[in-house]
Amino acid sequence: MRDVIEVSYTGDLLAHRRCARAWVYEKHVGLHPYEQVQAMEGRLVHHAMEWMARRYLEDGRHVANDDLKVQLEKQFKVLWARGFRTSFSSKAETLNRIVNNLYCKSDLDPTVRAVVEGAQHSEYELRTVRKLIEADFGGKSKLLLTGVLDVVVQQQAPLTYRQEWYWVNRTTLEGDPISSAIAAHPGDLEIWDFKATRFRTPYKSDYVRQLLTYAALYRDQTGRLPERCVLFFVNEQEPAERLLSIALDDELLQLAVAWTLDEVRRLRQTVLTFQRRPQDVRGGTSDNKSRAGEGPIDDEQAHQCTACGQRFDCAEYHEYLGGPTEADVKRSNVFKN
Amino acid sequence: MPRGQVSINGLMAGTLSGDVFLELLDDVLRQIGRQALPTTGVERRVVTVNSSDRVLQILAGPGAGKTELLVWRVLYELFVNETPSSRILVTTFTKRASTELEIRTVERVEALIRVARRRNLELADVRPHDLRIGTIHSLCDELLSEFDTSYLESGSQLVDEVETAVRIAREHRRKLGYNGGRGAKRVLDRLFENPAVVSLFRPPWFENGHWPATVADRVDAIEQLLAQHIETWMPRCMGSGRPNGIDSVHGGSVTPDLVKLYGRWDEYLREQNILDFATIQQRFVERQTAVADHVSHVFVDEFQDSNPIQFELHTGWLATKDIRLTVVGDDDQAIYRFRGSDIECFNQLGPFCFEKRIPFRLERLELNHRSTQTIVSFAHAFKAESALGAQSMAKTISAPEGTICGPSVRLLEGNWADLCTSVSAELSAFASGRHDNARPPSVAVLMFSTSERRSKFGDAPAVELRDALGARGIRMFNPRNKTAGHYDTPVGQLFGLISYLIDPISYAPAGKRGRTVMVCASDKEESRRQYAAVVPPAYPISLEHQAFQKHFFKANGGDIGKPSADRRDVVRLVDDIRSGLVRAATGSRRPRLTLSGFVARLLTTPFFRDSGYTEALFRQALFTKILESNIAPTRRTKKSLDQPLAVTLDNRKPEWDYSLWSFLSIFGTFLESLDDLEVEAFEDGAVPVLTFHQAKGLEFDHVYVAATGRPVDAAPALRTLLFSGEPAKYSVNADGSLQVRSTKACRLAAADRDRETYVALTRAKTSITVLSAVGHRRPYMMTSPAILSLFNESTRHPHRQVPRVDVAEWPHA
Repeated sequence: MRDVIEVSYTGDLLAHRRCARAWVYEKHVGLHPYEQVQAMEGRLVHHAMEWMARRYLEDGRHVANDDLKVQLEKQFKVLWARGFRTSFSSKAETLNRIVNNLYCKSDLDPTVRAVVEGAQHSEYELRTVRKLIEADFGGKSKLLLTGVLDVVVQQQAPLTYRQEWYWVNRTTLEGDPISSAIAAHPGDLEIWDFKATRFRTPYKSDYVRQLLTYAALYRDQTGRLPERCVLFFVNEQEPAERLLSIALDDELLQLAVAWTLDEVRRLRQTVLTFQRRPQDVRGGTSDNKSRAGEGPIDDEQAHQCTACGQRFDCAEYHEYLGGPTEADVKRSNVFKN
Repeated sequence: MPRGQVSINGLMAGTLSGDVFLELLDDVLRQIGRQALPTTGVERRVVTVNSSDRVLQILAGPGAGKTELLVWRVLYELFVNETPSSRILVTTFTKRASTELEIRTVERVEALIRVARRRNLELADVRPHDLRIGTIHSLCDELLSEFDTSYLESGSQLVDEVETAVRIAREHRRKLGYNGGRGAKRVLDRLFENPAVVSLFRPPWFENGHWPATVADRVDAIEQLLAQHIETWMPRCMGSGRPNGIDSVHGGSVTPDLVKLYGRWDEYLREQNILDFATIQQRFVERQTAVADHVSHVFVDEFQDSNPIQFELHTGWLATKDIRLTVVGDDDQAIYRFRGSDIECFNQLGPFCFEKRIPFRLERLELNHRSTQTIVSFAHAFKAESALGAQSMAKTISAPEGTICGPSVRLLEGNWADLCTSVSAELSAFASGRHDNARPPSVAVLMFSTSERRSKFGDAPAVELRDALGARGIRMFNPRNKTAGHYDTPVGQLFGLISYLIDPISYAPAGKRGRTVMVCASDKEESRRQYAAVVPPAYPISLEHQAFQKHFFKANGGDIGKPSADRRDVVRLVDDIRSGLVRAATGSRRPRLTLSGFVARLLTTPFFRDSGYTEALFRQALFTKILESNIAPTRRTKKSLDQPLAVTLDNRKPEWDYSLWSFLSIFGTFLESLDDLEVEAFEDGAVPVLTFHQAKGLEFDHVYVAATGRPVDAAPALRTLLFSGEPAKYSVNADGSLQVRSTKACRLAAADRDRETYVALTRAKTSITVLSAVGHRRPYMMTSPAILSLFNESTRHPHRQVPRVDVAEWPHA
């Protein structure tokens, strides 16, 4: 029996926070969803950014938007063959949206230009092994935590962030974005993460904690503390809300790592509950309270629930819908997958 | 800061020297409770990457700490020689081993950074996560994806073994050439009708009748033929034009037929932009020079299990001047000949380097840090007594000074049922196999075969063991049970329900004189097909799916059309879905439900959902995996199984697309001998019952070993020789079995068998118990004569809890 808990930050930890039930059936047992709807656009965005940064590092010039589109067409085919699907839009709509979010007509978006030109590493993997107290983690004594930093940027030119993360409670790592004018200076080292969502996503707190944890691991690995972390909401149309700057210090990083370990403990608890009786694992957020505070599922979460293979007997989703008679969870409804 | 450089109190201090690295290494080892490396021992020579090193072969016995030393040698390359991590390749035998190695590497890098900081040394970021650690197939895929533009741009994809099998099943008639006795003989007909070929690949437990007879048999035969041809004949004979040894011994045209078969398979793979495990190695060898510029040091773990094409691939790196090769292995643990590996690859590395004038170093790790003195001595005694003794490379395995003696090795003798009871009683005392937070000592039962299939001999031995363990509430984890796809499992039930959706069986007066008989659309008889509820398929399909459907309905006293009470709701759901699809055929809205979506719904019904945390749950997951493997090959076609399910109406009868009939036809053939998924979650808190092969690379506190004396099977060794172009003599008996005349093949085969037992024995840390089933009807349950002879002088006494079992202790502890 292996005594290591392997946790991927996004694939496990954040997924578990959104819905412990969906996570445990998919990741612990292997009942994969019939469609990987959400992943297609996110994967394409990440592929685009990585490909653009790599081409710039190799050739010293930016790729044209038409070249990017050709590359994304190829990647789309590869992902399609592997079972990834677009959610509610066609291939052309998806690709156009991605390219239009990265370019202003044929010119590279200034923010994207700053990332591409300043990229020190693209897709920088972080791995750490932590010792655990066995009793707290269901008999497991080690944690392998993995994450992928989208990009480490060393700014080449001044850049201003119009949104900043304000800490409401540092101890619990609660906060909110506020308008601001943070200036990045040439030479500033930053950790960026691309999110294929809009700024209004309710998961910003989770993303902030994730980035702080990454910053801690990056510091431990390289001995360098980044100046700040930056969330890049690639699908955001409002220019002032595309970037969110997050200031950091050693104490915050320590708190973020502790928070992450606590989430791992909860994840392990879900597994143990599942092993005793699978039906006891509830759907929705792991703390059974959505960000709106009304129930375990909120409107944002429901976008995933409607495509989830486990929705047909999910009490929490039924409650959100107002009852199991909804067409979305009626097993004999052939007009929905 | 340049890679590998260090700073002291913020000042640059040049590169990390080998001496400082070794000091830090010793600090780390002490910190984790291990002993520092002896200053003049072999371990330091293994860790240190000298500038003159080209090829290092490490002969590492069981428990020698090879993983630890391999990791440190990698870190030496990173920190001292400043080799960029992405230029280092580490190939492991399994995915699990890759993960273990990655974890160990991350741990050691972090520990090294910590001890260095304590000395005010700030090590440069060596990016250990960029090390390329993986199985040989995954690394070939990764490197080609990165450095071979055509591979990347065509979206080439590596497909796993299940998907490969599905593709062969779908395409072998049309693409590879098989008529099955109808019309002209094609390439597969010729090969399958040649006893000199078939007898080499026929499973040893197959006794009478024609093989390969079913689709599943043919897929098995084609996979084996292709793999042995690609992995052995191509690297060893193709260049020189040497024919396959089968032609030398028996005449005929097997060689050109195999060349043709491979050509067709290769063409199909190129058309589809996919590669299977065997072919990707061949493709990689062709493109290796393009990749070699990006590689500095290649590490190969478990090198003794290499096959000839892997040998060509690993030694192919040496054509590039500066690439280093480090291989680790133990000739006594080479147990994968049945899959095409050849111990000669391990043995011939030194001579190869000598011939090519490539600097070569051999180091031996002979201390076993894993096991007690008794176990080390017993394993040594077994080796000397068995066929392995004469074949083994020179080495002396011993326990380090101060190792405890440990309990005696025991032999339990009795009938198998009593032995199972005694194992169960002993495991109960260990508190093994239960779900709780406690961590009892690790225990495993290792057997040559852990199949739980029933046969004319009655229940398989592993079934009796499962029953005995279950009687005491001990969970058993047996991933090679061969029963996961049987009628009563969720895999069989789910397939039965898909069969019911597409081709519902019903009763109708279609028999002679109007007798009521079962009818369905895929029936062979036209008179019955016309009574079916759906339009028959355009072409005949295999009928296995019907058996799954019938069994689902007839279980628990049910019947066709009258399922038992526990199944009524799920059957009604399938009826409702079929009706919904039929109604949609006349409406304006197109259905969106897919086959996968249909299965997802079934899985959320109480019938499946309430299975608890049992094998049933994991077999549901297994079903979805096989379903995906059947859907994936169709994804780029117009008849994709990923499309929404849709029926059309023909004279008011529903008609399905032929792709669904084809799916039924192929899927049914794969469920015959299915194993469970090897998922860690399933293993959690259960007692593993593993084959000797599965146990490789693992270790347990207490090990029970059974079935150590199976009859020697010379076919794998013979295949190695023949596909290497050697005219090894053999003939075929009237019943289709082999008569091996080659003494070399017999000698190799006998040693192969004893290596399996040696691997099993050396998994133990604290105790070994050998289970000797007396008078068992299954030949593979015999006990190795070499083991029995070691207990010749031992007195027997009754087992404390099961007195019918005799206990003997090895007298030389």
